[in-house]
Amino acid sequence: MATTDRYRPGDAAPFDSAGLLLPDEDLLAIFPDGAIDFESRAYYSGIAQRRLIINRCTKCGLAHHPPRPMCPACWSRSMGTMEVTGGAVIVSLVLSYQGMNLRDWTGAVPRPVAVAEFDRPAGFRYTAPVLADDVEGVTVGTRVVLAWGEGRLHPVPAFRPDVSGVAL
Amino acid sequence: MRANPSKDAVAIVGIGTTGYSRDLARSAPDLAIDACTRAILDAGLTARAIDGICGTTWNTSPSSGFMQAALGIPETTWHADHMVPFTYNLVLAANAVFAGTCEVALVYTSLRRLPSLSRAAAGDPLRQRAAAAIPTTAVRSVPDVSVGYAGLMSSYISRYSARREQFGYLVLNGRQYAERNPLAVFRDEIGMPDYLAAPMVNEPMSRLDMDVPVDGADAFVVTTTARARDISESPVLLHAATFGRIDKFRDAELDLDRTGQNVVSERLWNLSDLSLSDIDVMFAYDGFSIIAVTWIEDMGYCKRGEGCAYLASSWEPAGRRLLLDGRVPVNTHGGSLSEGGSQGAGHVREAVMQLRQAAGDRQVGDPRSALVTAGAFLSNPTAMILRSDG
Repeated sequence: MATTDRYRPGDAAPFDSAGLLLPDEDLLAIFPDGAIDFESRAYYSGIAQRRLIINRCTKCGLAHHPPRPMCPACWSRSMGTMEVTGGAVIVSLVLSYQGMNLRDWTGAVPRPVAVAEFDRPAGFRYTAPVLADDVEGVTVGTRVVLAWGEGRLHPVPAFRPDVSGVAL
Repeated sequence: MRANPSKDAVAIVGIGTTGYSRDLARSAPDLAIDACTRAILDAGLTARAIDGICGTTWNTSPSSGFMQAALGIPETTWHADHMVPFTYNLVLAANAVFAGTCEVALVYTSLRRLPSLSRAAAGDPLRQRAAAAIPTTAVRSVPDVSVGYAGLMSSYISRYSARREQFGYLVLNGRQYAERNPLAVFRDEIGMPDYLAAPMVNEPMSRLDMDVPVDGADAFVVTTTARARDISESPVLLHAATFGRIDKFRDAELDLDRTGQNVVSERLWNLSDLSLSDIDVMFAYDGFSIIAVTWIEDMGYCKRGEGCAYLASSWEPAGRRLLLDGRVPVNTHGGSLSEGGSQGAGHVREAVMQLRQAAGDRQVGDPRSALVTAGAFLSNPTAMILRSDG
């Protein structure tokens, strides 16, 4: 089945992001290049507080990303949110040795950037850098969890290998 | 078969180019003017005959209004400025001609190697000023488009057990033709060891898998086929063309099962009287090598996932070239990987030259039809079939 940018949340509950929302002026200052607008405030507010929040339709329950003001399935304009947590699997891995992906990058080279597909909502894909001591051990198929790096103005979503299933 | 009212009704009658170089030390408008004047003269026309104009909103290419004034085109009844790939712009112009909004349209693009794409260019103050005028877009979750396509290449390789040297055949094929293309930026012979040793940029994508940022411009003149037959000995007819897109966005596009390229392929063959076996020369858009592999798959030469093996089996060692289906040459100008990153303009220009029998020592026999793909997965796939008249 082809992937989509709409997702059935499975057993993930809706998440009321009202208490998480930051004032617009704060969001605009923290994310100078961000696509901040009414329908994306929850997403950016979440990033600023180390939580990955995506839009979810309050009528039919379908989630989508990036944030939009209408459910693409039922055309409801009533958007709630859900929090993405739990595990994911890397479906694509790029190791950047040079070029634009290293602009403002001060860490080790190559810099790994992955697209990972979350378990819940099933099929949800997100692109972020991978934080790992051992880049060699990271491949397509590696299990990861959401992690957070430190940006200049705000936390940066990232993945790190999921070692919970590994016997020590 | 789907109705195609504009089939063969619009023709390309003029082409003009500056060729491509790493540094022509000229402004983007200067390059555009060269290409446009050459295209108008190639069509046997003057500025006064142009009544439609289409520019590209990409890189530092000047606007259609600027160019109309620069070329002294007195009056127009249609204009547009649109994003690349260049096939978008050409199809928009052809549709305007077919609809009667204008009769003779000029279509152009002008590229300048951006400071963001090259360390050498970053040290050029005039380039910095020119690039500063380009509007920036909102932050993407994929940091840079080359990372997006490298991500697709990574998915493809792991999913279909493709090998890097198989992508190399596509690169070597283009370079072999570029050796004989005076318009091309990279003309030195390379072999498979060179390909495999090329420095990684975004692994698995090396420098040779990525198109070359260049200075250069291309322009075309299109008009009705009826008018074309009056003014040109060798009009090239636009037989069928389409765009394609599906309703997923950004990260979710990193998917190989169903893409806009599949939409393009299905619609194009539905619009066309021709089938794949009628195509004499194929232009597989190669902004990145992975794109060309998937276009060869999606247009029907083989199935998804078989492209790399198909390239290996299509390799003709003696000619250092690919022959699809044992017969069909690919990217005979060198492609974007060797001629320069033209966003498809080079592919269309070479298709016209081949169909005119004017490709010099790159001429591949007597092709009657050319398949041109441009753009790719991430939002902008297109394709067109061009053919000679009669």
